[in-house]
Parts: sequence; structure tokens; C-alpha cells
Amino acid sequence: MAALAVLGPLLLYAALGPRYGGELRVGVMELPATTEPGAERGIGAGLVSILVHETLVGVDEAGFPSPALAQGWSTAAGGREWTLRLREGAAFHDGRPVGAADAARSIRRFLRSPSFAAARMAEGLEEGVSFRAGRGDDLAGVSAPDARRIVLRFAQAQALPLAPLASPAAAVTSAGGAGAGPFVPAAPVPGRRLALTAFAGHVRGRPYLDRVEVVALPDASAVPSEMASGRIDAAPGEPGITRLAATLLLLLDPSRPPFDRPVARAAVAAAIDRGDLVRHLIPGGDDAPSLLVPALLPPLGLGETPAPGRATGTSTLAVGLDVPPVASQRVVAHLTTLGLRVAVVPSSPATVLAAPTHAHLVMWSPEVAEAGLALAELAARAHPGAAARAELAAALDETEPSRRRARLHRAEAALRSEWVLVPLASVPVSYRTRPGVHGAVVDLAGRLMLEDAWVEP
Amino acid sequence: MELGVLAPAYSSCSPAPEVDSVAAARKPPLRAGGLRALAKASRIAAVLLALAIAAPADAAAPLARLADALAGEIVAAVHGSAVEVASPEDRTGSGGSLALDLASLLRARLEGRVRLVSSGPRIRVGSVLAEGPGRLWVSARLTEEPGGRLVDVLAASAEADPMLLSLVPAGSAGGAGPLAVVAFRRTPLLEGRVLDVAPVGEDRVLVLYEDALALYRLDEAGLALLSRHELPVSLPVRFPGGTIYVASGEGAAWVLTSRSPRAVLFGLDNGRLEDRQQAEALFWPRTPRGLRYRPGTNLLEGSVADLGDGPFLRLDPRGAAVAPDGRLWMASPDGPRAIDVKVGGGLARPAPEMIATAGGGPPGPRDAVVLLDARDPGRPPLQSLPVDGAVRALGARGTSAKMRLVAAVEEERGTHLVLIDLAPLTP
Repeated sequence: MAALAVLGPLLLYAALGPRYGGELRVGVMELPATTEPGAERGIGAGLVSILVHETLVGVDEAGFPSPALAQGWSTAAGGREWTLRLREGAAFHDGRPVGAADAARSIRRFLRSPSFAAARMAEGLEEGVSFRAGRGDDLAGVSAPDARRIVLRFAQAQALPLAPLASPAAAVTSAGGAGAGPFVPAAPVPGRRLALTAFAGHVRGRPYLDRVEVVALPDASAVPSEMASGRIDAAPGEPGITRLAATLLLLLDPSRPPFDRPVARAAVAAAIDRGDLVRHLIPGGDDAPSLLVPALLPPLGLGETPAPGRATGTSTLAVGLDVPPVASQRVVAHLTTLGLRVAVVPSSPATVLAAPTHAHLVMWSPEVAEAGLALAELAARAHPGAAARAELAAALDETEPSRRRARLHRAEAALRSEWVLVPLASVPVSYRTRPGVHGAVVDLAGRLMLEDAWVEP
Repeated sequence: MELGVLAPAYSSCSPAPEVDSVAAARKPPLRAGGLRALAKASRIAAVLLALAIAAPADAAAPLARLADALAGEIVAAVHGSAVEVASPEDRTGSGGSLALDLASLLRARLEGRVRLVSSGPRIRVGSVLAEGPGRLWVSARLTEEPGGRLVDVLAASAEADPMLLSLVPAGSAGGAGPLAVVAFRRTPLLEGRVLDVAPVGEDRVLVLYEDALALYRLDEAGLALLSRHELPVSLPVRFPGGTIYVASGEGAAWVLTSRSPRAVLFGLDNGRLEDRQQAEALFWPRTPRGLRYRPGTNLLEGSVADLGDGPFLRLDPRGAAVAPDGRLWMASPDGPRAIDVKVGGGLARPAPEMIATAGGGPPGPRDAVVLLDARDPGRPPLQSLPVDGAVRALGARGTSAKMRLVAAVEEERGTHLVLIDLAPLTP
């Protein structure tokens, strides 16, 4: 989506390319039932969202907002008021121009969505909290003074207040629900197949491919045969397009025994041999050092080493289906060695974090690839203590870029130090493609981006 | 161009040349050009040359762009107040002439947008013009007069444009064949993406950029910019196409890009580009309704006698085309003939019996200018001239005895032109 503006085309230098035309069929493990914007997790949902929808802003590789449907912005009132100017000629798939009223309506929808980025934005906007909670429809913080401008008013100046608008859940849609992304959905078979055609009116220009088809595969084992038969051209898996954009993350519920005891959590963190996991079970992974958002904050060597110990009792562990089975089995083995009896609950990547279990083992990528928002998203799941909360709040409120980054490092280390969030490895998000496919990239949120993809004739 | 205003961090963003952009401020929007390599005196001389020879509408001159940017910021900062433009202090070492020119240009750009005065209540713009490596800078202090209260501080910079694209040998072209490579030279990186190139006459080269057409004169020193004309650009295209058709007699050229809604006929007399006519389609020989770009792409459409309706990636007016799949097509009395050879996105005729194409290989760091026998292009190439990067456009001119090829070669850092002079090894 908009983040591609940031990534740049990443084109190889081809005599005959990039080329307009052609088709790409992508296999995924699960397809969302709808193409409406949302912050649902999972490769299929992320792919569909990025194909169909466009946001007002993106975030660049450094985490700064970048233009998308909004071509620029300016600030006033000491950083409390932000005016976004819509790009001339931006249009929805239904041919209607993207107007400020559409943007404002989409922001309102976003603010009431389950998105973490929305929660963060609502906290800052005037009347945002009450609006998000449904206590009223007034929202002084969002207005559209004319057809091309959207004004956001915050209670106080914030760093990067527009970054939440890069969330897939903040995509702008028309009154009729049409998106403005690079491809127009057509002929969906909910949950099984979605065909999309190039959108000539896309804000960054028509994509190269004429058509993309997203196909739900029965399971990962089907990928090799589907690729070999030519029924699909791309699918999750090595080797191919890759980016270190996910974290294998173990979340322990500190409100439930045995993980209510910090000593038990530290014992779990100490017991898992990260190097072993990465060397043997996660090709391309990186364990040193283990960070919550490794792609967004480079290692600084902050943090503590967990103290070995014992943890006993029974616990349930929800495991995302996108976690390599060998890796989850090894994690369970480590927990068992500690003295825990673990019952595994396999879960869909889209819903694994909502499973009512003692612990969750997930392949996690941030909703928005900006370090502050990503940490805030994790913190919302971990319910950290006062010290970590204070570190994070200080980082998020810091407006000077260098100081903010330094504070984010400290906040990240503080979040890890409670051993509720236990990063086990940095994991590449990879897609294999057939030969002759170029320009497809994985963004820092782990999503496959196809708007600059092209195929050799 | 860069411009910073005193404002909170992350305060604003908009695309160049509206330069209040955080994104723009963090990376140079204008690519380093050839003048980086030139001495300071040469840079100033080039700027003065630009001012001397450029058309009045030539917004490429760095001083003009500097004035554009600063004027826009002043208008935004003064909120309708009257403005006095003081003569800038010149720290460029040019004897003050650049500063005087800047003041004139600035006043011209403010005319009609603000009320220019020299007394009474006003915002006074006091500025300093300085030169950095490859850039001109202006810093401006806005004060409220009378009283002298500081209102704002503005700064702008403009990279000195490569008014002279110096040519340097590009190493051995290699590639054994029937032709001797008499010269193989390349320019510094150009600003912007090149869509097409065309030699005109003995010593001129037309370069079609994404947003402008430029006419250069080739001399011993390199390619000197004679004239540059902005094109109407309104359509977003991910990888735009562009085509130059040089009319017979070489006194005029039609150009069309897929980012532009209309084709433009430019006169080339006296080293100046003169916008003579606009049309909905690009004139092309034996194409009654002309050529158009398929919206949002780099593919040409139009009914070309002997070549069909397309779409075409490239066309040569003497009856050759590259199809979107890279296949070469030749016109024949029996209709279009597909040649069993894959080529790239460049096509030109350096001599009646020869076709030059870009290589048709897979993506990679190197490409080639491939010379084919026009009488039988399906045969193995006559010669292949490797280049670093991808050949995006080719232009050619010559006879059987003497040929000149101009290639726009894109590499990771940008695009440069490669000039190749060829002659037969045996007369």
C-alpha cells in the first residue's frame, strides 16, 4: 500500500522491464472473507488489504510518514493541528474522486475499529477517546473544511501523529465501500479465491500486472506441487523474496499462574535456546540479540539476561499456524523441560492472539512499521508495569527524532525485562516465486507488495 | 531543491518543489549532477551561461529555481503583508552578479502575489546567497519594518544544473564485429528519468525527460544545454514511456509521453525549443490517426501501416517495432513480420541497413546495444556493445560510413547518456 512509496520500486535493471501486462497467481493459507479494510493478521488478509486499499499516508523505511492519498501535510497550533492535502486526481475503484469527506468518514470508521493504531490515535485526538468508546458521535479532532483538506486536531503536540493512518485499518473507502488500492477486486469466492484487475486510476499509477489472483491453499504442503504445476506463481516460503520482518514471539499471560510470577516467566525466557531454534529450525532467522521489533530498532545491547529457574504447573499454549511446527515443538520441549505441562492449541494466525490461553506463540509483525507504534501495540497486549509504561510514554511523547529513538530503545528493553513478551528470533517473511517475476517486495510489516511486480514475457 | 523553515520536527510534508517537506528535506530531491565534478568557477560560469542562453521560461536554471522556492516560502510566510526585497549579500565569489540576478528573479516571482514596497509597514527580506558543493544556497531573514522584529527565517538551495554534460570515455565497448567503435563516451548522471533520445543534425541531441524536453549541442567539451522546455505532466504513470519523432528536415520534433495528455510539436530553430503545436496524438508516418499511449502504461497504440495496431513498446519510423513481449517486428509489403529475436526497450536505425536495439536478456546489472542486420534481423547480431545498466532508450543517426548512437542507460544511481560513434572496419 502506501508504504511502497517509501520502499521505492526496487527494480532490477532489465532491458525489457518493468513490463506492463501479465498475471500473477498467489497462493496463501487463508483468505479473508471480506475485502473491507481491517487490521486482521495473517498473510492472506495483509495481501488482500494491500492490493485493494490505499491509506492517506504510509511510513518510510525510517518510520516517518510518507505521502500516499495525501500528497502532503502541514502543521499549526504548535504541532496540535495537522492539515492533510489530498492528492489531485486520486480516485476510488468506482471512479469517484477521493474527497476529504471520504477521508474523514474513513478515519472515523478506523477510530472505532479494533486496530491498535486506532487506539493510539484516538488517545491523542480531541474527543477521540469518547468517540472510540461509542459514547458519542462528536469528534472535534477530525474535520474536512473543504473537498481537499482534512484537519486533525490533537489535545497536545505529538511525535508522528499521522503514523497510525498508515494502518491497513485506516484505508480510505468511498461511501459505497470501494477502495483506492492498485487492484480492483472482482469475482471473489469468499475464503477461496479472489481475482483482481489493475486499477488504471491508482494514485501512483497503474500497476504493471493486468491481473492478480489470490488462491487459498489447503495447507503449506500444497505449495510445492501447486508451484510445480504452474497453478500458482508465488506463495509463502523459501526461497525467494524475503525480508526480516517478523518476530517469533512468546507471550506469557502475567495474570494467570504459573506466569503470574516474574521468576517463572524469567525461567521460561532463560530455558529456550534461541540459538538452537534459529540455527536448526528457522532458516534465515536471527537470534542475536533477540529484539521485539528488530527490523525497526537496530540492536543496542540493552536488556537483561533472564535468570534460570523452574516453572511448574499446567498451561495452554496457543500456536499460530504460521509458526513452523518444528519450532513450536522445540519451544514446547523447552517448556516441558522446565517442569510445565503444556497443551498446545493450534490457531489461525488471524485469531491466535485472542485465544484464551496461558501463553501464545506467534509470528508477529507490527500493524504499522513504525517503532513507537509497534512497541505500543505490543505493550497493549502485555500490560506492562509502571516502569515500562513510563519509558514507553516518554518515548512516544518525545518529538525530537534522535532523543525519541534513544527512548524507544530504552522502552523496548524495559518491555522485554518483564518477560511477558519473550522474543525468540527475528524471522524472515519469505515468498517463493516462479522465475521471471520481478519487483515484488515484502514490507517491514511482513506484507507482500505487488503493485510494482512485473513478469517477464 | 531543499528548503527548510523553522518549525517543529516532523512538521510538514509535501512533494517538491513545494519544499516544506520533511521527506524532501531528508534526501536531496535533485540528484547530483555533472557539475559536482566541475570546479567552482566552471559551475558559476555554467550558471551564468544558463542565464545567458536559456529561454525565459527555462525554469531549470538553478537561480530561477532558487527564486521560485524562496518566493513561494515568502508568500506563505508574510500572510499578505507588503514585502521589501533587499539586495542579497553575495558570498559566491561571482562579484555580486548572481545576487543581483537573484533579487531580480525573486521580485519578478513575487510580483502580483504580494505587494512590493520599499517603505511603510512591511516585511523586509534580507538574504545571503552562498555556494556549497554543487549547490547554491540562499538564507533569508524576514523582519517586520519598521522595528526589525524577526518574523521568520527561511532557507533554500538548488543544485547547480548540469548545463554542460561533460563527456568522458566509458571504457572499451568491446564486442567484436564489422564496426569499429570510434568513440564510446558517457555523460554524468542526468536529472530525472530519460524516456527517449534523438540525435538531430550533426551536433545536437534531443533528450525527452519525464517532464521536459531538452536540446543539447555536442561539442568537444560535452553536451551543452541549449534549451529545455517543460512538458505538461498530469498523469501518474509508474514506468512512463515517451517517444520523439524528428520531422524530416530536422527542424522540428513531435514528442509525447504517457504522463502527458497531449503531443507537442517543437521547433528546433536557432538552438531553441519552441512549442509550436499540440495534438491529441503523436504524429507518426503511415499512421493516419497518430499514436497514443495506453493509459497508465508505456505502450503505444495506433494503426501503423505495415505494422498493425500494436501495442508497441517502441517504434522506428522506418518500419520496425518492439512488441510488449520484447519481440521485434518488421514492416513488410505483406504486413507485419515477427522476427524470432527478443530485444529490449530501445530501438533505432543508425544506418539504413542496420537496426540497433537494447538487449533482450533477463534483468541484471548489464545490458547491451545490439546491432542487427536490417535485411535479416533474425540472424545473429552483427555486434553487441555492452553497457553498465539498462538501455532505456536509443537514438541514432548516420550513414553506412559513419554512425552515431545515443543511448539512455539507467543504473542504480540514475541515468546517463552514452554516445557511441561507429564506422565500418572495411570500407
